Parts: sequence; C-alpha cells; structure tokens
Amino acid sequence: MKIRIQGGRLYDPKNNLNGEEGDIFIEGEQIVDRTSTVDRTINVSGRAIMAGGIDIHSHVATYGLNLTRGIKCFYSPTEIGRIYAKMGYTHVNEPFMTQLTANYVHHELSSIPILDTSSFLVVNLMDIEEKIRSTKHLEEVEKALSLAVARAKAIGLKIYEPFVKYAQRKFIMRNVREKKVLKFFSSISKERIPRVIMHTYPKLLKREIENLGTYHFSHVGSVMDSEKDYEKVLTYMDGGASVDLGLFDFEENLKISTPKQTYGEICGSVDMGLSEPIIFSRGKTPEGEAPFLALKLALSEPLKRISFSTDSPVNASFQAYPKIFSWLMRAENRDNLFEKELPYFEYSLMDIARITRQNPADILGLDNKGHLGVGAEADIAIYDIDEDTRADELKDRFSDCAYLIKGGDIVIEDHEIVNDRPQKKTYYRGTELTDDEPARILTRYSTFRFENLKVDQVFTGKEVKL
Amino acid sequence: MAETLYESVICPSCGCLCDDIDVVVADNKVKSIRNVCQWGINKFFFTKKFTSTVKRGRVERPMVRENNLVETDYETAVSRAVDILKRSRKPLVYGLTNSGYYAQNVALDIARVLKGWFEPRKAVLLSPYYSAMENSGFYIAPLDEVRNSADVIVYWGCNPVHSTPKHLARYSLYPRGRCKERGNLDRVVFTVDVAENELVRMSRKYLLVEPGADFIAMETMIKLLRNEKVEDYEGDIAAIQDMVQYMARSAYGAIFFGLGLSRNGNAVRNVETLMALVKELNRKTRFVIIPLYDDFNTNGAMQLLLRELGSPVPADFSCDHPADHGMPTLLENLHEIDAALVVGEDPFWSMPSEQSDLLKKIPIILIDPFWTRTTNKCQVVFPTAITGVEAEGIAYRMDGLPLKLRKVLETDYPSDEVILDDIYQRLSESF
Repeated sequence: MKIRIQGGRLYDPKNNLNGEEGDIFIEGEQIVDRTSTVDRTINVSGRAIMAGGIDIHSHVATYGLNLTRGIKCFYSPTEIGRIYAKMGYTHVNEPFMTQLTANYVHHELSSIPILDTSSFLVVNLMDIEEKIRSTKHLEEVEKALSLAVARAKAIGLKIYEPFVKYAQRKFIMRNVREKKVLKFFSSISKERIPRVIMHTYPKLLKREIENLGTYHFSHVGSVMDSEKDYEKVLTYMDGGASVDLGLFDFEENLKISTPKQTYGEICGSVDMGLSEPIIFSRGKTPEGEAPFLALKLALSEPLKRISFSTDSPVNASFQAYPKIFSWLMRAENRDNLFEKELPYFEYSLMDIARITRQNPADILGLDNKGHLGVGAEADIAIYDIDEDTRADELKDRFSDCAYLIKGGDIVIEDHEIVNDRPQKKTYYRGTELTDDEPARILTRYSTFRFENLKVDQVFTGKEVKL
Repeated sequence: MAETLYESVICPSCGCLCDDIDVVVADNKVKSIRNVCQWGINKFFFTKKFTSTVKRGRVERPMVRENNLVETDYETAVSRAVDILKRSRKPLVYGLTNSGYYAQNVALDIARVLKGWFEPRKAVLLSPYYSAMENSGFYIAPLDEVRNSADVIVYWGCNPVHSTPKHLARYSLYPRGRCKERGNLDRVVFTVDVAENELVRMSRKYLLVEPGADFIAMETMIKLLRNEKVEDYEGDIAAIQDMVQYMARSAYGAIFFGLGLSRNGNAVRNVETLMALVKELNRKTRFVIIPLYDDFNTNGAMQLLLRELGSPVPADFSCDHPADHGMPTLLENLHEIDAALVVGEDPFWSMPSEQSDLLKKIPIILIDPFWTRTTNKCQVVFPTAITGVEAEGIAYRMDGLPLKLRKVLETDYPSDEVILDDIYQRLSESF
C-alpha cells in the first residue's frame, strides 16, 4: 500500500529533524522520497512523528519467564505486543539467550504479535576457558563466536559473566579471572563482533577496561551504588563505550538476577550453566543510591551514547516507560522522587527519539530502523504530543499513540489497534564464514548434536540477516 | 534401491526428544535406525509398544459412523466432525500430548471458539506441578546442566527404564558431563516408588512408600532438613535419613518425578509437598526438579497453556475466565460434556472405566494414525501422519526446550495440525 502521512512534526535525530513539519511517503515496507500515486492519506497535523521505538533490553522471552505467567507475574505474548504497540514501539530485543535456549527464545519471541524481534547470545565462557587466557587463540575464538551468533540467529554477543568460576572447588584450576577475560575481549576484532554487550554487575565498575569502544554496558543504572560508580560509568562513556540506562520506577517488579542481587519474594530459579543460577523474584526496589544515580546519568550526559532501558521487567516493567519519559521531559514530574536534587535538564522530543530510536538502532546495527529517512523501514509512531504538551498529560499521550505503522501496515488508527498481525521479522547478525566447524568448540558439553543447535526458521519466522 | 540417511533426527517417542537418531530410509520405509531405544523403534517402525514384532494397525481412510464405521472421503469426515462440534453445547478437546505445538495451538483455538474444554493428557499430574510453583517457586535447568553438574539424582514415582528409556544414559546417571567426568561413578541415584523396579540395582537407596502416600516421606525429609524431630514416621527412616544427608551435602541435585505421585488421587498433595521439599533443599544447595514425560510433547501443551492463558490448569472456555476453576483435571466432571474431539490418545485404554463409560454416551471425533480401543466407539475417525516421522512439528523437551521434529517418510495422510486447522476454519466461519 502507498501511504502519505501528511502534516506532522518530524522528530528524527539521525536526519536532523527537530519538529519540522513534513510529509512522509510509504511504499510497501519502506519510507520513500515520494510516490506518484497514494492509496491512503493520513492527516496528522500538529502531531509528533517518530520512527517506531526500539527496546534494546527487555526480558520478554527469557527461559523460565513462561513459568512466571502461571503465578501471574508476567504478561502474555499478546499483551506484550499490544502494550508495546500502544506505546509506539515496533522492535524489542531479548537480552538473555544461550545456545541451548535459542530455540526457546525465538519461539517465544515469534509468539509476540506486531513487534520485530532480535536477541543477544550469552555464551558460556567455560566452553572456551583454555582459549581466552591469552590472545593466542583470538582468531579461532572470534570465528567461533561470530558463527555461534549467526547459528543462534542472534544480533549480538553478550558476556554475562566475564570470568570462569566453577561452583565446585575441585575445578578451581580451570577458573579464569576477569582481568584476563576483559583483556581478551578488548582485543576482539570489530569486523567479526562489532560490539560486545556486557552484563553490568557491581564489580565490573571496579575494573580497568581497555579499548572501551568495543563495549556496550547494559542497564548501568542497576549497579551504580555510589558517586564513584557514577564517575566510572562516565569514564567508560568518555572512552567510547555505549550504555543503556536501567532506570527505575519504584514499583513492585519481577526481578531476574543473580542470587546476591535478589530481593523480595523468590519465584524460582533457572540454572543456565553459569557460575550462579538466575533467580526470578518479585519485590520493590530496596533503598539505595542506584535509582537516583541512574536518573542523574540520564539527565546529565550528552545523549550520544545512551539508550533508554529499564532492564524490563527488573527495574521497571516496559509498561512504565511512558511514566519515565514524563519524568525525563519535565522536571516538575520528578520533583518528589528523591530528596536530593537532580540536574535540571528536560528532554525534548528529539532527545526521546534519540534514546529510544536512533541509539538503540545503532547499537543493534539496524541501519534501516530508528529513523525516518528514505529507505528506512516504514515503522512509524505518531503521538498526540508537541513540545508544549502539559507535564501531567505526557504519560498518557506516550501510552496511547494515535497511529502506528509497522512495516507499511497500519496497526493503530485513531488510538485503536486495527491490525494486530502485521508481518514481523527476526533480525540477526550473519557471518561471512561458510564452514560451521569452528563453532563446535562451544557445544562440547551439550546434550544436543551440533547440527540441532542451529536455530531453524520454524522458530524465528521471517528472518532478516544483517 | 537408493537409500537416504537422515542424521540427527529427533525421536518423537518420549519427553527426552533424543536428537541423535540416525535413520536410513529406502523405498519410503525405515530400513535401519541407530542410537534409538525400544520406544523409538516402535515409533519409526509402527510396531506395538510392548511387542515390537507386531505391527500396529494403521487407520487408512477417514471413517464416519452410519450403523458401523464406514470409509469416506476427507471432506465428508470434516463436515461430519464440524456438524457434531457445532451441535455440541460443551465439547471436550482432549489428548494432544503426541501432537506438535501448532496442532495443540489450533486445538486450543477450537475449544475456545466452541466454548468447550481443553485438557492435555496427564494434566492431572502436571497441572499441580506448575500450580505448586506459586507457593514453592520453580527450580529448573536444561538437562544439559543436570548432565554437567548433578551429583545426586532422585527418581520419585517414575521408572525411566520404561517411560523414558534413554534418560539414564543421556541425561542423568551415565553420561559424562563438564564437572562429572566419570559419569555414573561421580553420581548417586536414589529411587522412591511403591514397588521395586529395575532401578534397584543402580540406586544407593531404594525407598518404598505406600501408594499415594509419598507426601509422608517428603514431609519427613523436610523435617529432617529443618532439624526437626521425626519420631512418628513408620517407614524406612534410615533410608530417608541417608537420602536427606546426601541431598543436603550434594553440590547439585536433580529430582525427576512421574505419574506414581498421582496414585490414589493424591497428585496435588504429593506434588505440592515435593515442590516444598525442593524449595527446602535449595536453602542448602542447588536442586532442580523436572517431571518425566512419557508422551513426547506433553510439555508443549503445558507451555501453551501458560503462554496463552497464564495458567497451567485445563481450560474451561464455557466460563469467562477459563482457568478460574483451578482444578488439575476436568475429567472428573466428564458427565457435563456432550461431544469429544480426541487427538492422538486412547481414552478407552488410559481412562478409568467410570470415565470412559461416560464417553460411550457421546459422539467422539478421533484423530489418530492407528487403530486403538477408542476407534470403534467414534462417530468420525481421521487417519493422520505421525508427527516426527511423517510430518514436521515443534515439540518441547521435558526441560522446556523446543526442538523441530523432522519428517523422514513421505505420506498422503494429512498431519493432525492440518486436520485440526481445517475443522477450525470451518467452525470459525459458523461462529
């Protein structure tokens, strides 16, 4: 279908559009310069137009999450798709997928309607413990990892534990310390692994890390317990690292964490073969500096390397995003959150577009997403918002976009979902390597045969290889 | 005659979903097969489960009941099935544990559109397991982690030698793992059951319990773990003490349980207490608990219920909230239903007679590749391709990881997913 979106204000940092009025033309799944004919014109005068939102870090398909639905802790896939769509989001990235759980994660993601999906592959470094003690085997490991990412249909590589630590003491000689692992991954080639996603945990902020441009640090807000930690994050960003925020909403949330970081009522645990099990728990954020420092970081840094996240559902459920946007956009909305004073900085709609569209797209390597330029995917959200929208109305306006177009299909029209089955895709990073054999070292202790660990399209649906 | 080798095929015979099966096919028949257990042989060679030299009778054409069952064409059978279901006030959709995930999904949609019941086989045991997570939490792991790390294995109310034959060899006792380099020499097995079985020789201790009274032993173990007095236990207290000591001292343990816990109608109490025991164990060490499924996609049906309805209990779509009844099985109220759509299940073999007698009074639509005790009592019978042998599909392993089932044989029979989808499409047009 050929669609013309007429008269809205465009917010697109990548193309330097900061509220300028303009028309957008859509042909098929893409934004085009202009079409000779138009099947449908949507008049959106005065409304804000942004690319579809991209959530870089949201646990929507983590192994074990389905069990929490039985104890009424989490949304159904249909609810996830619809809530995100109403907020103007069109893409969600699952941050925790292992080689073993890749089929599971993709099957779960494919059951979420409307949204395009992607995921980070968490590798178990125990599989390559003897190869990462020095950079001697760097090329071999790079090949194995890039193949593993492609075979698992993941979009990026994530290191959850940058160390090898056996729970059983008799294997202590196999342990590898953080320092060696970080040095190894700092040397990794950007051509094969464009960015290493690091799970941020408290001790990581005590380390000296080289070649920071290689890294993206996840939900940094979760672990900043002191000004020193805050300064360290700034140092990492000055060094070229990107971060996502991990902001809090102070409500009772489902937490997915290591045993030491657990609070509230425990819902269960999942053993993924790492040094500690992953604990699912439910509770309110305990008092501490982290929520304040997370918001302070969001309000005080140039936004170039920051993406929005709440580590959903851990620090705040994705449903709370509009509330947090309203905090970021108006100082009066966040007045009563903390006793201490936050920096006075108010996000513009352009800034919101940057941290929820452009920056996540850059980190995930989605060149055709996160902006409104010619050739971009026709994922477009239109809100009843302008720069003068009242502070107390922002939350509701962000929760309920007026129009959502996903891949050229109209999903929301006049605030109503009119089509909840538009075409959706799984984005993953491919590799130029044709021989899968180097990846075999990562599957030595699997109960699955090597060939069955490659994710089939039956789990992913339509795939887009980057 | 040209032979084709299919390597690393997933075996659709039990919840282990072993993925190391190599099948040689010639002239569209399985000629030889490697790495397979007895159940797998029966599945790929279409033979009887306990007498593998005897071929199972294949339903060859769709049938509808006139006075007797008479063969008919597919369209007529679909029309008859749709007529029965449309006339029904409250139909039951039952079975489905030997179907692929998408077939289960369509079956759920059929129950939803008809405002009927949806109950997977074995729900009576598994619903309490998932429901008990509300109080005790869940403690799960991929079987890979059990193989890599577990030093204590407990089989409770199940016999893997019969229900999941390669479980011991691939996932629990025998295989070498990352931290268990000597396989069974690094592990200890405990078994709890009502009678001795093949596991006696492999187990460090074999604890006998009264049928349905497993919870007494479990409660005793919980007390021992809490250092409370256990003077009133009448069974083999020495075995229990030994078990508890080992479990508490282990670095990593795994409990597998089966249908034995549902004896005497005590499934809910037994499973809840077992989950409480695992919760208690996790205060001291790491323990996971995984049910043993003897049908290959029982877990798929439970994952589907959780995903779609947010509840592990069978669905009753005649109510506004299909899971609010909270019962682990709806079959105790079987007198309420007036038609049944049975998929890949033989209720006249597996149900107690008081339940199957009720089924005799209502029209049954059966989708099954083979003749069973149920076939002759049906109004409509559909032959179908065997999922995982003649049709593709997705199945969930007992640890909740899905795998793609392949097809190694060509067939003209439609898959159960296709049949269910045709019925659903026709029903959707009417409602």
